Amino acid sequence: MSKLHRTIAAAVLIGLSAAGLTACSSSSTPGAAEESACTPSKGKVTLTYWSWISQGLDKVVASFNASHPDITVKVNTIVGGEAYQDYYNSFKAGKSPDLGMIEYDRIPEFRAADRLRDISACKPVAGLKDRVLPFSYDQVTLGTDAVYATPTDVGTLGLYYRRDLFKQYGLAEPTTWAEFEADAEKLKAANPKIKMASLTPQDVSTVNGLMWQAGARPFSYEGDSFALDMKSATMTKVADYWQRMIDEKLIDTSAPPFSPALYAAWNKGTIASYIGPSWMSFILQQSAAGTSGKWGVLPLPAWSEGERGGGSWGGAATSVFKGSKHPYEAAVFANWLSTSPEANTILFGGGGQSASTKWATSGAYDKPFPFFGGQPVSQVFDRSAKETSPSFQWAPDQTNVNGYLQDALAGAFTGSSTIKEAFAATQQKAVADLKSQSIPVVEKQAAP
Amino acid sequence: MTATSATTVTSAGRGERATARRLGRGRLRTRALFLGPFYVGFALFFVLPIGYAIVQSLFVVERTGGVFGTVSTRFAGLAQYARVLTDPDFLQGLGRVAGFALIQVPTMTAAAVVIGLLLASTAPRAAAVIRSIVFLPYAVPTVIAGIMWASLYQPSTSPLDQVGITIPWLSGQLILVSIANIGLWAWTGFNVLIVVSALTSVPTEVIEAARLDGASEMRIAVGLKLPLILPTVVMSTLFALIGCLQLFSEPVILRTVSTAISSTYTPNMLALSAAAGNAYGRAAAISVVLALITFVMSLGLLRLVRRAGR
Repeated sequence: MSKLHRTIAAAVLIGLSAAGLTACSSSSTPGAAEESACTPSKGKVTLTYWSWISQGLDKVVASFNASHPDITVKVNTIVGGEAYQDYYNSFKAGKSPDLGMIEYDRIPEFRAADRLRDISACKPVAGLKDRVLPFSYDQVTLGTDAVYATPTDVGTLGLYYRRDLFKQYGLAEPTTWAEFEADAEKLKAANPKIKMASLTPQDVSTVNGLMWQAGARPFSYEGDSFALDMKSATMTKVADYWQRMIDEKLIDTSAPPFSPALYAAWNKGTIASYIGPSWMSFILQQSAAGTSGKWGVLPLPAWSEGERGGGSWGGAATSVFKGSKHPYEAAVFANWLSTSPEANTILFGGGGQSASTKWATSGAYDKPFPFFGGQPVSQVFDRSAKETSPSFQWAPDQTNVNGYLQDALAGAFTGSSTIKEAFAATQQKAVADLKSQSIPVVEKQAAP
Repeated sequence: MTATSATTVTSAGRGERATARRLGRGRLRTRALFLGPFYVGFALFFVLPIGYAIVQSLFVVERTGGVFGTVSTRFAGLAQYARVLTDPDFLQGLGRVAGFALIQVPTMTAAAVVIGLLLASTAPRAAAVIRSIVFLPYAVPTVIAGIMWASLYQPSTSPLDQVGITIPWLSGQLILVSIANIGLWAWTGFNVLIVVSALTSVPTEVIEAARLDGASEMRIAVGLKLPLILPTVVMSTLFALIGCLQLFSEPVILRTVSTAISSTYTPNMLALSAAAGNAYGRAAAISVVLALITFVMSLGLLRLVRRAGR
């Protein structure tokens, strides 16, 4: 081996590790092949199901397997958040699971990658529309006749608030955003160290939910094209409102979700309220156990009296992937997991928000929570779920859009730009990204 | 942070050459037996993946029939590379990495040399204890270190803020310093070890001779030991510089608490966010470009060091 060769070998050794990052992904041949009819398979069937359900996953699958002798579901636990990369890798390797858990905001992305099986023709999901929350149904059909998943759980937004602080500072429970702002001003005047709420650029999902609740429709589908409308009058209304909250220092902008700073703010009582989804109550109870009994939940304040609306953050659906050899049996499981009382009891018996309308009428939501001073808070979230508009859709590159939005919001929260500009910047980056994926995109005109 | 591979490669290189001379040609089979496993691993885990990444980087995704139409991949030559090399996010990411390197590497090297020289003049038992303490942060996984520092930097949980000192660690002005500080904390101990081991190879006769000539400890450290360990220090510095290109975990963790870190803050983060958006071809192209930059830098630096060493 010559000196040069040795040098090259050494350099290669060091250099190549840089390329390892994406090298594990694989070449693609999407399941574009024509779909087989959705008919029952003969004999016993084994299905693979990927999920990040944290409580009762093994139990719920065991319950299904026990009551369905011809179908065996094998579960593979994945990590929420990193799950999508796992799915894409499995698709590329040609070893995708039959079924998988997927958040609503990623369904268009997976659909655009042509990985989701339309199960509308599968008998087990017939009439699904009547068994799930209307808004969740439109999230899995993308507003078409197809069905790309069964809605399993949802996470509608509510306003967590400190009853003790509200009482101490004489704040009224806000029913409109104007009242919420008035409360915030009153609080600031009384004690500038306590902020009304918390919002950070990392709260992209909350911001998306607030757009939804306000009636903005930043993402929609027009024929073969995707339409972006992030500069509309409604978007600007939301942007200006929160911009004012930032500028007037009415909200805490230093406590990102899931951060020690937020948990400290909850525990120390330096924020009087928190906009969060139903499932955030688990995290709140765990991370601020010492504040038990002081909290309550209100519906999101409305933009105008009587038009409350709602928005959702997270929750997940159960999709059947293209390439599954047993779409019928997969649909049986997806439907059972999402809408059967047996599955709902295991998954939501301890709390949480099912997409099933039957579960909502089962009395489960009447349960009082000592942490919330005995308030049956699930009722608040259920009411929000019913008021959440079905017409909201997500982008076919929502992962990237959320990244762009967080990046752009950073400027707005540090004073170098505004939320309105951040929305426009996000739209601009999204258009470039969609074009690079050869997705036809239409930009709506900005509001005059 | 590839100082390990650097030192092992060079020392193994010299040793191997000597062994080859002793063994002659007749022992090829033995050599194959010993070296084979390395080359098999090298081929499987280095050559194959990068070859695959190169192939991936030559394709783009195409669709017909609109947003939810049919998806296919098409050979596009170097189109992905053209996009990467003109991508402002990529170029800015390289710039940030360079900024990080300029802050972190010189500080770390200086600290490691000073600590190493001080340790060499400390009583052996105390030196061993201090060395272990300085080395400890290196044993902490980067992600854990990131989470720990994120808490220390956040105003509501920072101990400095509790006593009334507010430093905006997570702001755009200081974020690179804050990231570099984590690197400094984690890697200085490792570099101290390199300095210490280089110092042990300084012949004692030379030092004794200097001492007999009346040189002070300071003079011995600066005028004698430092020049003798300089090649090692230069080498580890250069590899630390190259290692900076891999900057990833620290900014990713700090991003959860800082507004100053974008999703494409470093080239590695850009590659990951491309892959997360199902843009494998683009992610592969970014990775290959990064690998090429690292490769060229390593090659150039290794030759430079070899020439300087002669």
